[in-house]
Amino acid sequence: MGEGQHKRQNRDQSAAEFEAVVDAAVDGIIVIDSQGLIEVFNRGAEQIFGYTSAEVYGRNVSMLMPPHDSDRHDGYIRNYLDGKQPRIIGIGREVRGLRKNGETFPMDLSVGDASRLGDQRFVGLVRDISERRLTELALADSELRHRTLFNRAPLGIFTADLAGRFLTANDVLAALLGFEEVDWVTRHNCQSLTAPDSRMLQHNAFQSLIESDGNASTNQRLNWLKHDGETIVVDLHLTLVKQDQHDAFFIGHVTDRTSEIRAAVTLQRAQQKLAQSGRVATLGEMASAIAHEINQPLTAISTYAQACQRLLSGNAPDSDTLRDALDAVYRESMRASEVVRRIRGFVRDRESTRFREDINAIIRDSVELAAFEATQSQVEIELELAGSLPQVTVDRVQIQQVCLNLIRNAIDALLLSPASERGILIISGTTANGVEISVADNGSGVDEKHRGTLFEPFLTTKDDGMGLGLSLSQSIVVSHGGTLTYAPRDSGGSIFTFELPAGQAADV
Amino acid sequence: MSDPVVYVVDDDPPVRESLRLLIRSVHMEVECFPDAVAFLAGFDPQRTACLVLDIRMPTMSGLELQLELNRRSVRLPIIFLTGHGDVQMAVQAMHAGAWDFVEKPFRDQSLIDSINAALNAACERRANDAEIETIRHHIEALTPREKDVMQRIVDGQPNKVIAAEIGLSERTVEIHRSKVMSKMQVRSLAALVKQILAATQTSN
Repeated sequence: MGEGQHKRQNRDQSAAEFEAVVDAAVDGIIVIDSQGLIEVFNRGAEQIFGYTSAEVYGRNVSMLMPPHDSDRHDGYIRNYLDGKQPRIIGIGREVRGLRKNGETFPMDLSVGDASRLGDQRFVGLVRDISERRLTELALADSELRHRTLFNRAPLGIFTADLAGRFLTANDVLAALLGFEEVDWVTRHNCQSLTAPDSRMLQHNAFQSLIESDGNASTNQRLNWLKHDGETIVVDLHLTLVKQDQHDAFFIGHVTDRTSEIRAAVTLQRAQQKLAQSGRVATLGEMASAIAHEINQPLTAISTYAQACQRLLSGNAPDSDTLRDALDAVYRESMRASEVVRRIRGFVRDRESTRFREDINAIIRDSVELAAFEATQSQVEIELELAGSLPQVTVDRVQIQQVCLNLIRNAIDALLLSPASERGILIISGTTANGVEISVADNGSGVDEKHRGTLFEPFLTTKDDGMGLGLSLSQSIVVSHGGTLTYAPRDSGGSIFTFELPAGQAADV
Repeated sequence: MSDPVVYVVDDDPPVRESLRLLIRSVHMEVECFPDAVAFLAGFDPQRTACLVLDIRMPTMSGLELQLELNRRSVRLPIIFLTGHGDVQMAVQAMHAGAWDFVEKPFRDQSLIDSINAALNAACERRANDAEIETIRHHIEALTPREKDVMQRIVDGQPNKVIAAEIGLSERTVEIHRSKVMSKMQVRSLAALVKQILAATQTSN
């Protein structure tokens, strides 16, 4: 065997070995010459691109690239050979490849200068990363969805370590605390954003969870401090998530209750103010106001009419004056009838406002409305309300008016008694048909002679009363299918009792 | 002096205008105001007048106007127009010197009678005021000596005692006495006493 043959044999053998190694590689390996023509195309490359090596040998590597890149590829090689800055050689980057079936895909490509193998050559190592990319995209998508869920939730969310340091926080929590950036929140400890009066409560909540078996949760209403020092009221739902002994953290859900609570307080104050100023008109007062409204036009009518009579009995009645006066009479009679129409409308509107109600709640409301007057008059109101009463179908406002009217009557009746003996007892209970409410006072009671006309309109023993309160109260109760009765109290004083049927009330 | 006038203050325009027509129909002068403030700005305290006043009005009620007039020493008979259930207010008005009350709606004659009586009272009061004014003028025209003598006469001292007490002759006292009677424009001791009583009573 000559030396040349030996060399060739060696060379053939090493070429075969090289080929086997190249083919065994999982990645695609492509070798091109300085013209970009393919010299080596291993199995990995065949699998990636879908061509056999026979199909690509001697062809320009740009066939494996999508049009945009393939157009420029020859230029890249030339640039490199001219000693310019390499764009890919020796670096490696993510590019897109073109499969035989026309599909493009993402791949990692690293290119090396293999010129020491002889002529100018380049070796390309190709790894199909389309699957990895898909997974990454899915992950990113899922991450985005979760982040959106996290940030757009209608409540503040955070995670915190066992020491209470914030780990993550969502946008809502940042906004709630008055921070512009979430990053600002995570520089704080949960305790440092808690108002002093709530710190103990919150500390105990954290502690009790830590001492629990884990995966337990707790709810607390707490005062937190905003960035600017303003106090807000929050409901904190705290959960401890314990993966294992060392990996445990808190998840907190925070709901801002500040405006809700402020609204409730404002409402309560308004109600108190209303009750204190005595502006809750009783039926009697309403009737009095209505009477005044009708009395005004009636006064004008009667005065005009009488003036006309006088003018007519005079020497030369001026017909213009008389006509004007009669016009005014007509207008005023319309005004009076408008008042009547409004009252009718008010009554009609109310008919559709009957709902199932808890009578004890209505009583408590009425007592609250009368509380200021009772205190002023040094009258004590005691409640003895039966539990589990059947519901009644009533117009809440009207029945409240009946209660209020009876309570105010009782207060008036007590004014002549010594202050130490002024008491009202309100009792509710069940009857065969429904419920019964009694308002009892220990005042002077109703005179024997007035008892027969107690519920008649326009009969009153009060200086400034219209005599309509009890009469209207009775019509309201009757329209609800009930009764309103009076009984003298053995020990002196009065008992007014009204009964309401349970369930559907009869309309009258 | 101009004719007596009836002032009307009521916030309800139809009621106010009907009152104007009624009062005019009996040939009395009437001036109407929609509220207390307008009245205070527009009425003439020098005129003989009475006031028909609605007891219930927004902003300044009839009662408040009455108190304000009292505060300004305007002596004007006030007839209050009341509605039902205004008893409490009416009692207050009475205590503050109201002339009368008429409940709405009213019989025209009762209002007109009340207005007439109030205007008469106002005239009398005015005449009385004028008379007292005259008496005061007369008193101011007396010399200190004459005033001294007059007080002693009114107290019932005879000339002789007066002369002894102030160290003058009885004759001089008699001259002072004549001058007092002529300056005060009275003929009898009784008339003089009456005048002095009237003048001193209202000055209290």
